[in-house]
Amino acid sequence: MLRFYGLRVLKDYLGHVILIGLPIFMITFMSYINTPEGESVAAVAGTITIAFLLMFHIFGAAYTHEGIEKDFFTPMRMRLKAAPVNPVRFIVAMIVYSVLISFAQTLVILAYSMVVLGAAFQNLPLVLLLFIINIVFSQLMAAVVILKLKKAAKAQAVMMAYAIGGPVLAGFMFPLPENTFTRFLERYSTPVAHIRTAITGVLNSDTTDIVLGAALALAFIAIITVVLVRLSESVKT
Amino acid sequence: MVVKLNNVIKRFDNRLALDYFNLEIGKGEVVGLLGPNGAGKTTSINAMVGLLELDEGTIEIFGRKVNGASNDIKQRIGLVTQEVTIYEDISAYENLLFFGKLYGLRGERLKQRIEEVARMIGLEGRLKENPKRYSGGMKRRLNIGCSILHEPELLIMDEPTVGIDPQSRNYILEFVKKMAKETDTAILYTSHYIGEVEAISDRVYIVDEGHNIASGTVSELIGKVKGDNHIHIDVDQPQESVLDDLKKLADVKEVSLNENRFQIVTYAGVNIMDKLIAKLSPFTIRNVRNNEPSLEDVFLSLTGKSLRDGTVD
Repeated sequence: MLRFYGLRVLKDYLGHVILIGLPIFMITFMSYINTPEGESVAAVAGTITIAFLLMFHIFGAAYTHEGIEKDFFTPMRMRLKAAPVNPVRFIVAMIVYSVLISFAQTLVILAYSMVVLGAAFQNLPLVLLLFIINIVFSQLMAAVVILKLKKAAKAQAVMMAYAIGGPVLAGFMFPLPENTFTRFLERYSTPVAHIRTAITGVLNSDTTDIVLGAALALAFIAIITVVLVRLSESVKT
Repeated sequence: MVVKLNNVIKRFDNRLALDYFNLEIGKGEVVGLLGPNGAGKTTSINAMVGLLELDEGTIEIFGRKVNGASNDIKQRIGLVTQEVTIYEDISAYENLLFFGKLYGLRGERLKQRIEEVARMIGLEGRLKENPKRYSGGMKRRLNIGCSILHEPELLIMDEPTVGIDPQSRNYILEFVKKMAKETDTAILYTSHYIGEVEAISDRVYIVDEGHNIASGTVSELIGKVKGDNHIHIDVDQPQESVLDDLKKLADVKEVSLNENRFQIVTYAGVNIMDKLIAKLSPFTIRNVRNNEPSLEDVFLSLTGKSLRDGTVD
């Protein structure tokens, strides 16, 4: 079953163009216009790549939306529920493959950023692990939102609000005014801010930020998993 | 008995979707379920495949009482959904592979079944294509193929020919008849196309507003409509002597000869056309007209509604 869900996601060619091509274009463009005079583009490419990857992980949740909508909120639901298989397995398979594909897209973008723009990432394995946490949270959240709203278009609107609002609150898009409240928002407002805090910790070798950011993000994953398990019960009936 | 629904009641809020609904299907039998939209056809199917819990009554499938999902029962049922439920962005072969695996088929057996099913549904040589490129009829056939890979003992077909061309429709009807005959599969076929149900069903249930209105063979149901068959056969140079032979045939009520036309009245619901033609074979037959009541007349008579191509007047 997992192979089949992988096939469905892999065959979404337009999705790959958007989720790989668009961030590569944006990272390149933003890196060049933000490079201080006399410095190499590599000086800013790393930070910009991290910001766009975290944002596009949330857009990548569209795979889960569309997959779950097709399976459970169209007439396909009847055929799948008539099969001798627990319907929750379809949701799990969809999430697992969406996470894998989103991570593969991340690797392609990172490779581009490192090879073409010269970006460097300190402790890359740990950064990748934090990316995986962000991807997992985004896909779980997408599953919860679609199961609750039952329409991919509505779910996409909610995820879009998170994909833009989260990075704005975390200070990715533009600098927020300097005060205690905005500093708190930048570090703790959303799970994407927690991951960013942890990645910043990796880049600055600040263990406290790494542990705190990752722990908060994992706590959110635990909470959303509980919500998802409860909502998944509804697809059985 | 493969399926037995006994006084099934299902309510949705205050609406009665099934109201003391009864149905039986035997092995190798094609049973037609005929009714307008909203009559309770799909609700009864959902109850049979365990997608709905009953409010009252019982459902026995393969001799076991069921109420809700049971995987070992589901394993033996094939469901052809009313809508085309295939994945259009992957190939037809991959669709068959996926649905076969859902029912536990693996390896060589699965590959062999895909080849067999592709032949049965007339899609051999087209399996590598994405169903996006298929015609409506081909999609419908793939929809059926995905439901029969696991060789179900009970096949439930919920309006499987909606919106397709006559050629594909005939293909599907022939396929249903052949499958029931050759594999002994019990088939429940729902439709609001009377002609289809009439053509393939061993027995027919007429349903309306969640009730059973009538059931029986097509002949039995037609027999419930008052009136006789009036058959007119025009021949060259008829002879009165043959009238006695015609009168002696079973089910013939009256025979008369008016110029070149034999006017024969038979009981409703019987078909003795072959015997009449045999008796009149010494003459040159110019024209035959049979004014037999149809299943549509039965439906109209029993429900007060006309049922044709999905519209209820």
